[in-house]
Formats: sequence, C-alpha cells, structure tokens
Amino acid sequence: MRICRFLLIASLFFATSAQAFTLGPSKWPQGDTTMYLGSLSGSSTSGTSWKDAYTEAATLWNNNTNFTFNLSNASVAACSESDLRNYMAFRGDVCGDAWGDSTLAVTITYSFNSTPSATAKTDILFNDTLNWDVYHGPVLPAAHDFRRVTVHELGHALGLDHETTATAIMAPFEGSIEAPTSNDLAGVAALYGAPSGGGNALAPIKIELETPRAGEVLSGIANFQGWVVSSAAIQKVELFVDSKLIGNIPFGGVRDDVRDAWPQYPNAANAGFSMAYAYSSFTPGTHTALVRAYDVNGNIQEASATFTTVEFNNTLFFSDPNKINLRNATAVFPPAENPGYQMIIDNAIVDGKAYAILLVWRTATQNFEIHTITPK
Amino acid sequence: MFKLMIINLFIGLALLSQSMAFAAVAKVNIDQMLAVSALVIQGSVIGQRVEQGDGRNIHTIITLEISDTVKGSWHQPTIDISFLGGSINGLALSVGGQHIPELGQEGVFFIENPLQNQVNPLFGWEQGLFVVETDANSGEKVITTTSKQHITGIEFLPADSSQTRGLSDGVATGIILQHASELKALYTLTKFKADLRARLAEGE
Repeated sequence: MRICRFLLIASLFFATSAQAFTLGPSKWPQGDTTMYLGSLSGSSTSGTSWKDAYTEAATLWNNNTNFTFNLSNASVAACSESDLRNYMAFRGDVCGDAWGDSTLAVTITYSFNSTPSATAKTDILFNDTLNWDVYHGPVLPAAHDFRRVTVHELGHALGLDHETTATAIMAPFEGSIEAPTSNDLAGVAALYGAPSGGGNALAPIKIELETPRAGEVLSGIANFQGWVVSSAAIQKVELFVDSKLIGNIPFGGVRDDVRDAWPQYPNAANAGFSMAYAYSSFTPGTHTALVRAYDVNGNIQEASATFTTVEFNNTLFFSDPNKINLRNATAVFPPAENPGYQMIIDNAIVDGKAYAILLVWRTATQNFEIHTITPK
Repeated sequence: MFKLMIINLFIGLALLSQSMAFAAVAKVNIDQMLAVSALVIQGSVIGQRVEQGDGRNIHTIITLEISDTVKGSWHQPTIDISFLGGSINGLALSVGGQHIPELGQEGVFFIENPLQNQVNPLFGWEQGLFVVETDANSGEKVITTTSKQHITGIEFLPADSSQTRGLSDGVATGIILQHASELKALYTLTKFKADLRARLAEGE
C-alpha cells in the first residue's frame, strides 16, 4: 500500500433542532466491513456469549443504518497494522500500552493518506482486567455491560465521535442508553446515507395501551396493560384516568412478541406493563385512560384510550360469591349473523336482581369479559 | 362499603431507574485522582511529536514544562507523557474519544504513572486535566474543564458514593461546575492547588 503524508481532518459537528451528532476524522469508504470475532471466546456470567452480545450490538446498527457490520468467527492477527482485518478481543493491554485504572475499552482506527478520510481498519479492545457481564437496565457497579459498550465502540468504528449536546449512545454524558438513538442514526446517515424508505430512526420510546382498547367495555376487576420499549432505561409508567393520576404501573413483564417486533430496542423482551384495577370503582359510563412512560433521559411518550364501565346495581365489589346465582340462567349463543366470539348469560341473578350479561372474547387478555349488563 | 378497591398485581420486576454514566472511560472522583495519580503537576505543553517504534503503536508525545508540583516528584523541569494515537509516515491512528492536549495549553495534569506507556496517561482521561485560563475580570488564573466549563470549587465525596459510580462524562465527581445562572466566584488555580495539598496532608 502506498503511504503518503496524512492530512488531518478536523472533527465536524452537526446540529439541527432535531438531531445532533459529531463525526470523527474518517469513515469507511464502502457501506460495510467485517469484524473478526475469533478472539472473543467464552461467555458472560449471565450466560450470554460474548459473540452473541457483540452480534446483538452490531445488529442494532445494521438494522437501522445503511452500514453493515459483517461478522466472522475467524481469528486474525492481533495489533497488526499490516493485517487490515478488524481485530476484536479482550486484552490485558492495548497492544503494548497499559490500560490504566480507568479505561474500559478502546476503538483504534487506522487510515492512510492515499485516502485520508477513509478508515482502513478498526480494532476494538476490551479491558480484560475488569469485570464484564451482559445485562439490560442501569449500569451495575459490579460489572460493565459488554453489549452497550460494544454498541458505543461500534459507533466509533463507524466514524462517530462523542456527542456532548444531545441524547445519544455516543454521548459521554451520564445515562443508561443501550441502543443508537435518532441522533446517532442521523450521524451514520450523514456518513453513509439514509436507510431506504427513510424514517427508520428509532423513537426514544414506543408505548401501546392494550387494555383498555378504544371503545372497550369493562367491569369488575381487570387490567390496565400494554407494552413500552425505549432506547434508554424506562424510569416509570404512570396511569391517568380522566386526567387524574392513579399511580405507577409496574413494568418489566416478559413479552416475546414485542421482542420479535422491535428487536432494535434493548428492553423489548421485558416490555410488558400491567396492573389489575377495580374498574367498578369508576362511575358507570365513559372514561379516558392515559399511560405515560418516562425514560431516564427525560423522554416522554403517551398512549390513551376511551373505555366504558358497567356494573351491577351500583355495587362496586361483591365479596360474597353466593350473591351470584346462575341456577336459573340460560346461555344464549350467537346466531349466524352475529360474531361467534360472544354469548349472553340470560336471567343471571346478582344480589337478588336479574340481568342479561353479554360476554365477549378479549384477545389481549385471552378471556371472556363482561361487555354489557342489562337489568331484566 | 368498598371505595376504590385497588389490587396491584405485579408482573415481572419493576426496574430501577438509576441514572448512570456510559462511555469507555470510568467516572472517577477527585479523591481517587489524588490517590491514584503518581504525579500531579501544573504545566504547559511546550512540545509535541509523534513516534512509532519497531512496529509498535503510534504515539503522540507531549512535553510538559513543569511550573509546580502538587503531588509526587520529578527529577527534571520537563516531562514527556505519551498518548496512543497520532499520524506519522502517512499512517494515522486515532482512538475514539481521545483528545490530546494542544501545544501551548496550560493545565493541572493528573498523571497516573509517568514511568509506563498508557493509552492515555491522565487518570480518567479528560477528567485528569484541568485547563488553566486567565479570568478576564479579575486577571487571576482560574481552572476549567477541558470542555471549558467553569468550576467554582471541589468537594471530596466518599469513594462508595453513588455519584462516583458509572462512566466518564468528562468531569470527575466532586468538581462543582458553574451553572449559567450563577455568579459564584470562579475557582482560582491557587485555591485549587491549596485544596489538593490540604487534602493530601489530611491523608498523611
């Protein structure tokens, strides 16, 4: 390779009202490169292999940018400027230099004056003298999260420098960001072009309220439930009904379906939130539920639905099951012209009074729920 | 009568929402910096060169002229410290997040170990450098962070304080930054060095 005098390219800073990012001195001349993981053997304490965690980190960039990190299990020469294959490894030193007591990982980028702004090789080294693991959520003092550090280092490998003015995986600010944000993706788009179709930048938070759905009729005790995913750790999910704060909804429930739909978000596998509540405590009629999610970076997202509550004879809660009597009730199944997933319990006696109760199958809860209560 | 009968059924774990740092360099605190750094000096960058020896990494070596020593001792009026990265013979090597002090820059340098080559010789990278500037109003020398954030003082926090965990945001824990709305007096170089020396004396 012809080696010429290197020209320094100053870091460039870009900021718009919507997105901010800082570019490093060089980028890859093409839209892909291969990272060699042959030296990343073994697994974390939590059981995730380093290669799997690395792959997840690379996928976060691959799925949302025009750049592709190809991954190879082959081993390549360590610390070699003549071998232009990208070397990934845990090491006790930085190719001859000491880590020092405060350095976790480094990304070392090589370029040549023949194409001064073109990255020729990038090595990513992780400090083998520290404790590492793979986990989501807040950074734990006992171990560094290999996956999110890898996401950050891969950002350097792409050509991004630290971003100090906005929410970003490339920010050196405090935060629990685990995935590239819209700022990071805008930076990569500036280097390699926007992904086809555009608009692929991840929203900081996505939230969906599944129960109640818009127009749903509820009674008795049922859930407020849904899912929320975010680039940074979720701080809380608040529930409001008719603009009144009810409280915080517990979150972190397992949701494999959300994980499959939104693999870009680090917490998608545990995106569920749910809280059982006495809907009968609401005045019979129409109400509006609103859930509001906050992440640790101050991002907020909301979802809402209007629902209706019904109840038996203004009674909020029956503690005595003997007040329900179905001995003389009849089941009415739907005729051909009606949906097949509903039925009526006619002449049900509840607290001494007769009702016709319409039950409807609810997909979200996988149960029949009371839809309408009609006094006889 | 039942009023607002609420039953909370928890699904999964409510995740903690601790705000923590993230970068490739750990967040350090000013006490750690004093304890770990073998040499703490006031100096100015008077030279810069790039070297690559026998197939080894490229290093940028800066020469500091020492004007005052807060901790440790050095046998010469200047000291060379080495940073991984630089360009020589047409080959450039850069380290993500690495910012090498510029020629002419004056500062207080927390040097972790002057006898060995490190990726970055300053403890905590940028956290281990305080830039010395002359305050336009008072004419006194004051210190700032490397990103030119004004400092009004320092405080020594327990090493196990939650504020000392996490990763670097470029400023060590215990450094009190001046907010835009504040008019507190800036932290002078003289006071900074006096506070560091007093802290060192407490530990002796």
